[in-house]
Amino acid sequence: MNDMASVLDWVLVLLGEVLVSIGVFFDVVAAIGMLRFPNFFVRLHAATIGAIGGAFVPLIGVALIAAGCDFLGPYRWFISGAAAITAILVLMLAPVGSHLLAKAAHESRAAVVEPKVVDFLEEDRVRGETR
Amino acid sequence: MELMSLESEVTMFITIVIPIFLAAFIMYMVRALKGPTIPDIVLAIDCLSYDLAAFLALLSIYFRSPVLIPCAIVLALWIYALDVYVAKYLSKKEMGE
Amino acid sequence: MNLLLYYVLMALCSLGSVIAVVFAIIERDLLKAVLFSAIQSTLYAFLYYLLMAPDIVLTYIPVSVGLYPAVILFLIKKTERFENVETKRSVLLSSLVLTITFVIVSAAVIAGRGIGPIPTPDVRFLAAWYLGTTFNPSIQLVSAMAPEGVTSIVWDYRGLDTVFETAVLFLAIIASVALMRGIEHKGVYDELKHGMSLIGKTVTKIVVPLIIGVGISIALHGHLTPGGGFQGGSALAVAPLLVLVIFSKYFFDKVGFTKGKALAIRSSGLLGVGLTSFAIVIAALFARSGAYILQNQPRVGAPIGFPWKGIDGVLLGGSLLSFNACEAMAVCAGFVILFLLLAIPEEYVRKVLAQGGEHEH
Repeated sequence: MNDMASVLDWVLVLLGEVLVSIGVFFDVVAAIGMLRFPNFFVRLHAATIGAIGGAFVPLIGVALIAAGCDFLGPYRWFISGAAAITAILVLMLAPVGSHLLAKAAHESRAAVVEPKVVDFLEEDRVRGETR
Repeated sequence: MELMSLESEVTMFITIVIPIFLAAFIMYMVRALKGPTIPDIVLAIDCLSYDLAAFLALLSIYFRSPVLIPCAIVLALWIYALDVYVAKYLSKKEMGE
Repeated sequence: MNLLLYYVLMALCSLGSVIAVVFAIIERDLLKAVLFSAIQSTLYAFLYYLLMAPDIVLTYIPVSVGLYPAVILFLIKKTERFENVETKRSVLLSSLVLTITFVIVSAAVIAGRGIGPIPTPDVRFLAAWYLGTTFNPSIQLVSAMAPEGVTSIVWDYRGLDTVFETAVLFLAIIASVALMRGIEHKGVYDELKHGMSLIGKTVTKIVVPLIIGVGISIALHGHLTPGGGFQGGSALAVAPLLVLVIFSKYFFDKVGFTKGKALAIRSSGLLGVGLTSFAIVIAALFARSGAYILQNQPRVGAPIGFPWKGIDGVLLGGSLLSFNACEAMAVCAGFVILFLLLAIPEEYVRKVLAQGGEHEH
């Protein structure tokens, strides 16, 4: 009974597994980046890879895997739908969270730009052109 | 040519993927505990929790238990709220403003 | 093989949370300490997830990861950020050694059965009883007719405990309202000066309906999946708290959503809980038959009950549905009241308190 899964189920599961593998790879890359980059503002780049590549893509992959696994019974659509909702929420919320955090960190000088080449926002702030 | 059933293939794949997730979590935790400034710590918690939400969704297939999945939605929402609160704390003089 | 994975994951979670807690305790900067405590709460939520208790995870995450750091952040902003307590190195080291010794000794004692035999699974009669009667159409006289065991224990088998817990939460909110009695603050909403950036405001406008939808779904689905009143209410509470922080308190003043309105919503939710408890009693008064308070399904000697099956075979869950809906409304409004009171600017509060007069307690 379990061996008679249709071709459509296999295609969905394989596609989902490819997405989850890509997600895991981005996750590890982002974690290494968070450890090795010099200051906060460069780590933001690594964090975006971790949040979108490491959370949005695997959640879409989980939604596809769950849609294809017919050994879970009719509840597999529950997993699939909830994972898709989480993916949409992460896609919309994670970048905004990082943006607000970076703006607050730069305004309040909680994080300094240490190996600095040029910082135009700082110059604008000193001149008083931002609000 | 069918190697194995769908169920055992999915189980084997998830078993291979879990240790790689754990390695990423441990590295995020090192940055979360070490990070010299406050925004560093918040960023590391942020990434750790979004990836933990994806991990929870994957585990709910592995444990064959579909009722475990709403936990991932709630985790993602409240970690975003924590992010916003710390950003508001750092940038304004009054939290209500 | 499966058990090994469970144990490894649980051990890693516990270790990580202990390390985070140690960092949180010895840290002098209170903001960092709050963030370390949030790490510990996230790992604990993962531990509860591994123990297959999704209802607890859904309750633990809003309280420990969301509301507790938020309240402490408000408090740190109003008072002071750095503790001026210096812990001596010898005290730290000796407490660490004592903790590790205590953990190892208690683990050895439990593993060696020093505190008596650990109960085996086949003596758990009460759990078997709950699982057997929570949805059993063949013995409707003792069954709760709702498939979700945890929600039926919370509102049907042990309904009185939950009513008392709701009353305790209500008393806490009333105490905080009473502390801030007479302190009303209104301001004018300036779009450029108040609130956070334009990107934050735009995305919040898009995301708030999604969050409200998710919250209502978790609340109303409580008799079928893990969820229910408190979990759905606290997921629902993310939306007004986000609006409060991203737009600013003055936006609430402009829209006209005051503490009084939130208190009215909360009170009507609690009134709904009270009416649902007495609904069968009132119906039985008209039909002149017996009834119990907090009754859900027909019992021996009390033939009236809530409907458990609707049109097309949809499971309604009896009184659990209305309990969940009213409790979600009450919990969400309670959290909104608390944060509206905390968001009043501190110098205004101090000015009002320094005036004395009729505000003396």
